[in-house]
Amino acid sequence: MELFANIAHGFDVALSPTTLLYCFIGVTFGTFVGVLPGIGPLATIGLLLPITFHLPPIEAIVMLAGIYYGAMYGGSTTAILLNLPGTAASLMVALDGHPMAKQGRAGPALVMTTLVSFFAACVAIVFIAAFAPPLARFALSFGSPEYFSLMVMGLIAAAVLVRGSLVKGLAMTVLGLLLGTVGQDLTTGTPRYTLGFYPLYDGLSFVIVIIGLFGLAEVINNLALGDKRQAFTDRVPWRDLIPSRKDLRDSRFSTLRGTGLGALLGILPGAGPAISTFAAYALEKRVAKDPSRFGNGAMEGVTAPEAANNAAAQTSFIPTLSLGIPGDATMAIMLGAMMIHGLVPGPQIVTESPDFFWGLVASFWIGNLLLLILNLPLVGIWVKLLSMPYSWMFPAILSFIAIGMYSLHLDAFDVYLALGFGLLGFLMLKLRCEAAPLLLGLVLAPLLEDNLRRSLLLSRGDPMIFVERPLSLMFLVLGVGFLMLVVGPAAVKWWRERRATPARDAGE
Amino acid sequence: MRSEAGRFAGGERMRIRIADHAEFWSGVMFVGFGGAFWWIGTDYDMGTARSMGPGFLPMVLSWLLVGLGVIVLAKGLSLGSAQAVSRRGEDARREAARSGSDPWLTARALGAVAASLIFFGIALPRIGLVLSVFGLVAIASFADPKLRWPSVIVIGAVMSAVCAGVFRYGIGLSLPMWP
Amino acid sequence: MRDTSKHTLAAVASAGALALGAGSAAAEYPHSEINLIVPFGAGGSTDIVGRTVAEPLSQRLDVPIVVENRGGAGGTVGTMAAANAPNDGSTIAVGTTSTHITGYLVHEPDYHPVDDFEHISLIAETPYVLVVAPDSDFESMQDIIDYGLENPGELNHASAGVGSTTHLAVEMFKDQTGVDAVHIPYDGNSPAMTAVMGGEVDFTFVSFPAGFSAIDSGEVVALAVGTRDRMPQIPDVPTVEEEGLDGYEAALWLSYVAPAGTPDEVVDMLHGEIRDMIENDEDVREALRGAGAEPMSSESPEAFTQFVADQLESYTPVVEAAMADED
Repeated sequence: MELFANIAHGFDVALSPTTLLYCFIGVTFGTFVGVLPGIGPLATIGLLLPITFHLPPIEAIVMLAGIYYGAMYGGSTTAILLNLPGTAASLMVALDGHPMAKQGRAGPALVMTTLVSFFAACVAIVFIAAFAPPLARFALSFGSPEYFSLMVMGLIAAAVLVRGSLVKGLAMTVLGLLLGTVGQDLTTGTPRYTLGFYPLYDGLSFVIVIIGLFGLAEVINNLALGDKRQAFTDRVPWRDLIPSRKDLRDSRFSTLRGTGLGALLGILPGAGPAISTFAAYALEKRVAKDPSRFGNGAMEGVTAPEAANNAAAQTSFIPTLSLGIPGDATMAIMLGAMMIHGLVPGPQIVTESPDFFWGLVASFWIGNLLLLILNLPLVGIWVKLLSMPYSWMFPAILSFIAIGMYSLHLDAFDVYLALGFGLLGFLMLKLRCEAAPLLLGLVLAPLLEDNLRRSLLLSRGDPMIFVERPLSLMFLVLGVGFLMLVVGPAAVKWWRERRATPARDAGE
Repeated sequence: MRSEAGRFAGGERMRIRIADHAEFWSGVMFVGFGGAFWWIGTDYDMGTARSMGPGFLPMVLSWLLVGLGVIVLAKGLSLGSAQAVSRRGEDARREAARSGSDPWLTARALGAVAASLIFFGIALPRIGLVLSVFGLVAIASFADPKLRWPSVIVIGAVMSAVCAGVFRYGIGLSLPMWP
Repeated sequence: MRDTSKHTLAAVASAGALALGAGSAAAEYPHSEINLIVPFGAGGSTDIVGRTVAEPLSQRLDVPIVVENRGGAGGTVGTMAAANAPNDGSTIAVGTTSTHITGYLVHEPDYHPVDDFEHISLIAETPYVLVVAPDSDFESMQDIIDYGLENPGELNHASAGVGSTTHLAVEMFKDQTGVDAVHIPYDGNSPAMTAVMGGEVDFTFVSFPAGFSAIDSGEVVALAVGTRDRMPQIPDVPTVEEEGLDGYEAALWLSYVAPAGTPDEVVDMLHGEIRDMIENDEDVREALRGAGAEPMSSESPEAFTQFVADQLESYTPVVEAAMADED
């Protein structure tokens, strides 16, 4: 088959000693950078871009790509160990991964994320190799109305998937959307809710909010608990680092589902990876026999979003490579790097630069294999790190957060902003308000608003545009379906209880 | 609700009270945020259906948030017999005791973390990374009663060195190192 | 509020200057690394062009040039930081049509494009290109004009955002032709291009570096370029002027600027090096063209300052008209 011949050719290119070396440098550097809160792949690739000017194109791109998915991987590690997610994607991994770490099961969680990442990446790579051009076409059929409806579905899924009450989940989503409107309005340029702070004109930075609400709030809470703090189980025997057979069984299907969702949604520029992790988590919770395990260290809650995240990380190269449309800021840098090296992305890149295209695809696979080899031994070290007394750990976490925030724009304002969200996050923790839906709202608000406005401009004010287009209608129906799945049984239960024990208050 | 109240009016005493503090105050928080966003948002242009203004979405969302907040708040209140109220209150208190924390420790944690970060923000551009990190560690250590000065100095020195190494020389951020 | 934020920034900046020991005698410039503020995100066309020039400049001056991406609000956030940066030559910035003309007029930041900067030199210009989908019925710019005039309000066109330079390019086009089309703003050049490819909008002007690869691969079809001369990368595409719009010119210039008060020796020295490099170094010219930009330099810092002042004057009414349409 031609596909296999092509892939074989790709391995020829990618297995040359220099390519291999740069791939290794990329994933190693990416992993370590990903572990640091606040310093994402974007900043790192930006910093390393000048170095790649002097490299041949394939080596340069392979290294940058390695940093990209290496950082994704490292991000999951910090999210699980310290509840310090750096991206929307690793946020979902933290929801169940961190409880696992607290129960002394950080080892299995990390090993499983490594294995699942590798698996998801492999599947997604085959996906890229086989279908890149047609998939790019599919992404093009997504217009503004489709995006709007997809966001609505994603938001409803996020609101209903969290622990605790549905109304609170919805309220947190709406609050997130409102926070997402902070900054200059894209369509008219009106600054909104900036309170006169110039740095807010660009909106609230996601990293700042997530580090505040999760990382800082967690630190404050741990300190406030003092001796009552749930200590990490120390001295984990090596045997316990390995996932049990049950872990593997639990994650079989969740990994497959997550991979599928991630691979598909990853090709949508802009929103793909973030929505795919939320959707994967929501789906698992929905199909689980016992949804109450979620949020308390369910293995499926770790593997499904991790699989989705990594599959999406790979397939998000599809629009960049085959259409020249970068899906996010990181991809925009990658595109810039390619152009600096005279590579013009587009459908013809496969035929005109076969060395580059197939070499890159093969290097994805090799990079993920290197990540696997690199990270499995590291799991032991990461877990040992957790047995450090908290008194020694929190100053380190605080320093990393402070520097990470400051370095975003070289401005102390971001540190104070993170502190503000840290205090808010602590309050929300005390009030048992789950922060995850807020963060999805924050990410999606600008996209939601822009696509809503654009759709209405295109339809000249007719809201029917959302139900007249089949794809858009499908997403809306799915969203309403999600809501009914949760509201339906709850309403029935409420009604029964009310009739059975009228003396009790009905607001349960 | 009203009918229930009526039905039992002859029996036990009915009263409204906060049964679940977390629910009630969450509701208050949502209403507060919703109100604030609404109040500031009234300045923005609503636009038309065809061409939405910058104020449209914030207005709709603010109302939605206030509405949801009222529901949450109401769920935190309890209108029922004294017995039912106290039963729910008991649940909430048990929950609070399980996850609860010492007010003094909480205040210490909040104060120390806030002060350390504010110090860092002010200090970094002026006295450089090394001393700022050291200061941050020293101030933050007030949050933990178990930390003694010798350990603080060691942690501060180690963190300064690590941060300088990782961020300046490892990643190459352009941060000032020394005053 | 504005004033306070400016003062805070100024305070932070002066403290920074103190910390860096800015007072040291500028004996031999440059004696240490130079910070280059790029007021747009990494990977965008401004970033690529800015870095393409920074790299060889750093070799010529024999000091590292550290690129700092500070994007936001049409480039005005980073440019504001540049205006308040230490003016000893340790900080320079990339200034563009967006930061100094359109962004300044639309976002009304707290700096003045002429008064708050020393203008070192232009480095390049990137044109705007009129593009349509490959399966579009429009085969020339005239087709769009004809259709638009017959069916007012029916066509949709994209832009990279309200008040962006692409928006301005289309407004000027609509103004001169009398075509009435509905403006659909997108968040940047890439989504605007996607919208054209997917057929959501009928046409747009796109910045050439962002559209180059798609034009080259046939994902979109270029109908006209907004520069005075044809672009060497796409020699078959006529200019807008050739297609019948007299005096139409839509291009974005990019330049290096320094905060006001930077010593004349420093500005002159940088100007000399940059001009020599842009005009005579074939590698640099090649690299800029590869990024979709046309190399361009200023005769002198004074000439460049005058250029900015002139541009500001001529664009003010255009921008005001375009923004008035939005409200």
